[in-house]
Amino acid sequence: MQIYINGRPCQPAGETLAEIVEHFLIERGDLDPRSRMAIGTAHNGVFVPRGQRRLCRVAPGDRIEILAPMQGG
Amino acid sequence: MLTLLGEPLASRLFLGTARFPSIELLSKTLITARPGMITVSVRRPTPGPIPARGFADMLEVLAIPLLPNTAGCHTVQEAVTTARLAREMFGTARIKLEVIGSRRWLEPDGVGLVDAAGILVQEGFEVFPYMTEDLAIAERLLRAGCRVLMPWAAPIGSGRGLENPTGLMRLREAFPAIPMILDAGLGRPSHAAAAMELGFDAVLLNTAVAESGDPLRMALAFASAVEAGRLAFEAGLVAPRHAARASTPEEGKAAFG
Repeated sequence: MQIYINGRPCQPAGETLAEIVEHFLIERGDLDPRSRMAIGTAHNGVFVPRGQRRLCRVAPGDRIEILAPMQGG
Repeated sequence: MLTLLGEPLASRLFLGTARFPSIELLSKTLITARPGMITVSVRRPTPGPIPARGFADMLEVLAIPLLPNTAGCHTVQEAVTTARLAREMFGTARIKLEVIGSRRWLEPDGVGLVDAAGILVQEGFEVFPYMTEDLAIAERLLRAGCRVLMPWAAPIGSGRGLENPTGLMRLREAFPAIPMILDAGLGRPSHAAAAMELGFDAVLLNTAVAESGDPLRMALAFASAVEAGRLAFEAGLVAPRHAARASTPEEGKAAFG
C-alpha cells in the first residue's frame, strides 16, 4: 500500500497515524520526546489532535502531513 | 502600554520571526527589542531531527506572546486546518488568519477570510484577520466575531509603506473602538511612525528588520519609531494648512522702516 507523507509517496510503517509519526521521527534520528509534543498532524486535509493519532487508521492513497513549529511572518 | 484583548503587552511593535540570518540573531533581536507579540508558523520539517526544537526552546525561554499564522493558505479549508494545528502546537487560541487570493501580490481574499473567520471564532479562536482596508469586509469580520482587525499597509515583503493612507484612515475612523494592527508592507521606521500617527494600536512587520543590514539595530529603530508615532497620536497632531502661518507672533514686532 502506498500513502503520502508530506507530499512524498512511501510505504506506511504502521497502521495508525501514531505509529507513522513515531517511525517518521525515528527515521530522522529524532529521539527527543519533546519533538513528539512539538509536531502537529493532519490526515487527508483534516487536523488530527495528538490524543487521536492512535485512533486514526491509514488507508491506501491517504495523505499525511507531519508539521513542525517554524519561524513565520 | 498596550492592552490587547485583556492582555498587557510590552510593546506596540509586533515582529515576524522569519528570514533572519540565524536563530541566534533572531533571539538577540527579540531579547533586545522586546516586541509585544511575535508571529510563528507551521511547516513541513526539513530532513534530520526536528530542526524547530531550537526555535521552540527559544520561544519557551523568551515567553513573548505568540501569534501563529496561516501563511500561504489559499482556501478556507487550508486556513482552518492550519489554525487548528497551530493552536495545538503553540498552545494559543490566537491566529493570524491569512487567506490569500493573488499569488503575485499576496492580497487577502476577503470573502474566504470572512468564511474562515466565522468557522474559527465559533471554535473559540481569537482571530487576527490579515485584510485589506476594505470597510465592508471589516464590517463582516466584526460581525463574524473578530475582536481585532489587521489591515495591510502594502503587499507582504514589498516594503512600500502605507500605499493607501486615506483608506486606512477611513478604516481607523469607522471602527474607533476596535484594536487595529497594521500588518505587512512596512519598509522603514518612518512608515511605522506614520501608521501609529494615524491611530493604529500596533504594527507588525518582519522583512524590514530581518533582511536589513543589522536586524538588531533595525528592530530598535522600529521600536523607537512606533513609540514616537504613538506619542504623537496621543498628543494630538495639528491639522495641515494650505498656506503659511508665522510661528512667531506678528504682535510686538518692531517697526524699522
